[in-house]
Amino acid sequence: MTIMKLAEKFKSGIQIEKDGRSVDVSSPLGILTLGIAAGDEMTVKISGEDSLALAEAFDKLVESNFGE
Amino acid sequence: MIYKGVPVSPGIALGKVHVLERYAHKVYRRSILTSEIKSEIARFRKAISETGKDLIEIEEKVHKALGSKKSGIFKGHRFFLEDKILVSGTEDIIRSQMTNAEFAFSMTLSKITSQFLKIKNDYLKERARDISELGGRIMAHLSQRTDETPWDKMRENSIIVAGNITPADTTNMKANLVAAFVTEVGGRTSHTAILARALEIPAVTGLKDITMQLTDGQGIIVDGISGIVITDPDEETVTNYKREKKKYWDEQHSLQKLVELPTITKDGKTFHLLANIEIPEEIQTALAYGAEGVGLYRSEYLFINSSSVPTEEEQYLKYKLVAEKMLPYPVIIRTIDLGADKLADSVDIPDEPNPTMGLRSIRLCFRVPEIFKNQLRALLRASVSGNLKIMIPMITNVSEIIKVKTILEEIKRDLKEKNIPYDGNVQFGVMIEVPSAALMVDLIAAEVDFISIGTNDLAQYILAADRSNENVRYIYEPMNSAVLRLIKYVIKTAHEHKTPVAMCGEMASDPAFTKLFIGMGLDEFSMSAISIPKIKKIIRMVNYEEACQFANKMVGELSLTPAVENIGAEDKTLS
Repeated sequence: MTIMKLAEKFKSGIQIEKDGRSVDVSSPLGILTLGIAAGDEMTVKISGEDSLALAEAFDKLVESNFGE
Repeated sequence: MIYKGVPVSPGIALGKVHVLERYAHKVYRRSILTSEIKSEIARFRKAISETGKDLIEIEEKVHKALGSKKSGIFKGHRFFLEDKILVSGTEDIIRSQMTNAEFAFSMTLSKITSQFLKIKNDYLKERARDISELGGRIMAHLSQRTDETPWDKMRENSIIVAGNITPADTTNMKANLVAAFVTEVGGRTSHTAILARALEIPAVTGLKDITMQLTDGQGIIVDGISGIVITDPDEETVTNYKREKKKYWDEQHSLQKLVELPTITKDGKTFHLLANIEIPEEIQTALAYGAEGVGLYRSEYLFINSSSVPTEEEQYLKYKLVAEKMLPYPVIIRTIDLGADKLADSVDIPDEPNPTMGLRSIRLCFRVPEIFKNQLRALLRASVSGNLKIMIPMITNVSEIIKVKTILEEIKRDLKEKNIPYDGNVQFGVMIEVPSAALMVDLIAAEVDFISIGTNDLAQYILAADRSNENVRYIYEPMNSAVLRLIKYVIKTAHEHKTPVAMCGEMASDPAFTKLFIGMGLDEFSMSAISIPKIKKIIRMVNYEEACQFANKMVGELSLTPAVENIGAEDKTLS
């Protein structure tokens, strides 16, 4: 399960921010161009109608190490 | 016009320029009517889906040929075809600016590419090339010029001029029509160089912006020995180079005959000629030139050619490969001889005023023990796959050697505990390139199985002259007798301690010194594979007994004969 697929299930959107730039997770190119490498810190913004539910699901996903 | 670049594959070629465009077609902006918007978008979407089909086909082909690791990248590219930024971005431009799809898409591509250029991480930045290639495919479908591959217009004796030649380029290449490569980037270990050497065609790299200065069909001469490229040559130049070309091939053919013959003097004494390599791909060439092993495998190229520090496993596989391919011949692998700048991500080192004499090579290894141990572990594991020997560079004293041996013992113990096989008798040696080590070779010999003289650095340290500095290069010619004297001392003393001596620096491949070193008793010469036949030729013409007398006369321990100064000139008559 990827962040992208998770976001698709909800009405809210997930934005990733790094160094003042933010992209929507629905664009892999956008994520790539943020230039995030292993170990980097980034800010995750979840906003919309069901943002709380999405945020919870997101946390669970990260904790489970994305099922890897 | 005469250009000077880096020669990376020898030979001489005369032909016509063929600039490798890849999929770079000119894009024109065309204004469209409101009624055309829908059809432009449809056209764009069609190009995307056709590209998607292409990628599926390529993925299958590559998967069959090279496995899923290499084919997976095309799957990733298909993902990008659905990307909002690429698709909606382009469609938005078509609508808002009322332009044709080609132009709208090229703008989107530029935007994406410029975002990539802002990325700090080198690996990710390189992905821009992938995106650009993908963009090229989409563009080709849009402009319906998909039957054309970059290699289509090639004629015989085409000399390929490109920014770079990548493995992807070679899928449709008609190798029999290609006479040479000329590129803007790439060095001796680049793909361009490897490919050229495998095809036995000349190649010159490092010619910045050359693709913009030349046009298809232009006459061109490529000299892969000197690195010179001449465009629009006049008749006289063409005649001269045609002659040089014939001369080169005649020489190559006669040297080829030598490959099968043993390296033995007239009076029957055997010597060994090995090859210096930087990457495993060079083994084929080394064997083809008659190398009896690898006298120096510069392992640092594994680190230089990758964007991150290679793992133990990655290294193990490369070392194993080299050891296996060279069987039954020996392979001497030198631990990394790098400066701190190459490992800047892994270690905190302040700026050094004199990096050449600073924290590099074995000193750097001691400072990054995890990286050093990983390499030693990989080497020990690979030692069971062939005749592998471990060599440490830039040793200055015996305690450094003891330190390395202690680390090796620790690793061996650990491997044993984990039941991981390694060769318990793996040979261990050091490079003698720092004068202090040369002067203490008696103590060093007691601690190692072999030594190898690194003449490049040794001479540089002894003469205190930078060989690449043209202002002081004259100090090297003729070779100063102090350097020769020290080399003789090293060989003699090491032999007194029953330690074999090899040489892996440039002097080993210099015909001027072959007879001298034979006479001094050098056991092994290691050099660039291409020099092996010519040195073998000399050794076969030499009489060992006579060479010994020659060496004694030339570099007497206490006396210094004037004849020594002419040593370069005298021996050139032998070749």
